[in-house]
Amino acid sequence: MLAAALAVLVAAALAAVVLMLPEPPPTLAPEAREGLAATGLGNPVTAVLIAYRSFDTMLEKVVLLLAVVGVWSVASDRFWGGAPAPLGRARPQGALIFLDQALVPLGILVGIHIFWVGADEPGGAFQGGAILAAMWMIVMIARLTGPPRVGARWLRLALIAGPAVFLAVGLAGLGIAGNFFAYPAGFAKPIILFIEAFMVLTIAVTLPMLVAGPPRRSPEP
Amino acid sequence: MNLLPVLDLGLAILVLAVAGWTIAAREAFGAVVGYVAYGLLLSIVWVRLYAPDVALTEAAIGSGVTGVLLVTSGARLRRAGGG
Repeated sequence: MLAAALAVLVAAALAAVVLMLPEPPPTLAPEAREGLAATGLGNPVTAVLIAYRSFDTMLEKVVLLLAVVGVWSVASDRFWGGAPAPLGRARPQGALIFLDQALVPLGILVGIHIFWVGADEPGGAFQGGAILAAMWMIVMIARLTGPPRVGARWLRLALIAGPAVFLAVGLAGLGIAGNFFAYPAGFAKPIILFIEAFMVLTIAVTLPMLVAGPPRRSPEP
Repeated sequence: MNLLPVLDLGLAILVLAVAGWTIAAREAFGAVVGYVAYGLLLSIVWVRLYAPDVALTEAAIGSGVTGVLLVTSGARLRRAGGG
């Protein structure tokens, strides 16, 4: 009852704020569009994410990493380093396996495409990475592959690749472009795509590991 | 006659209806299905608000990944006898 009253109160407050917005509503869209030329990008949303507020985006990836650490931290000691429990049913239906065979190759292509066009059109690293993550998840749900051991080196590297490359480029900007997270003029777009490629990898690995949960199998001897 | 305002109104009613249904659902799995449908409808709303980037994120994260997480936790809860 108390929760319902609180929810109604929050909803009413939100509605009041929306109705009291000044006309025209304040916007930074013109400024975001103005700086586009310097980044070489065509999509102002990507420019905001990877150029104007790149540090925030890097920290978001660190938050995702902390979430994985949080999930793994509830594992019992004897399973540490092992694999999470397999997803889906023990005997998957034929339709699910067929769906995987038909959808996954296409989905991987769409995911990479969404990342690539994100520089100029709606899309980007997070959306593309999420689609790739979904593809890996449905492959695991159909039991065509199991979740990897959480101690696997390639998995650890993939999990940190995005924020690590992002941070390394940010630090390099200190020496090359004269400021932390500054991109050298004229080279901004290739550098942004380079960072995003590693972020796609990290996102595509992080989200399925969050879904797979903590390790529940003993690490192989 | 312009059909878009009619479609927008229908979309708004649908979003509210699915939201209400999700809250009222008695079963955890049903509520999760409602939540996923709600997220997908919401991403159409974002497209209508000319924010395709937000729509993509809503569909992928809000509906997709969160939906899978909720389905998994729902199944675990059922196994533990909690709902």
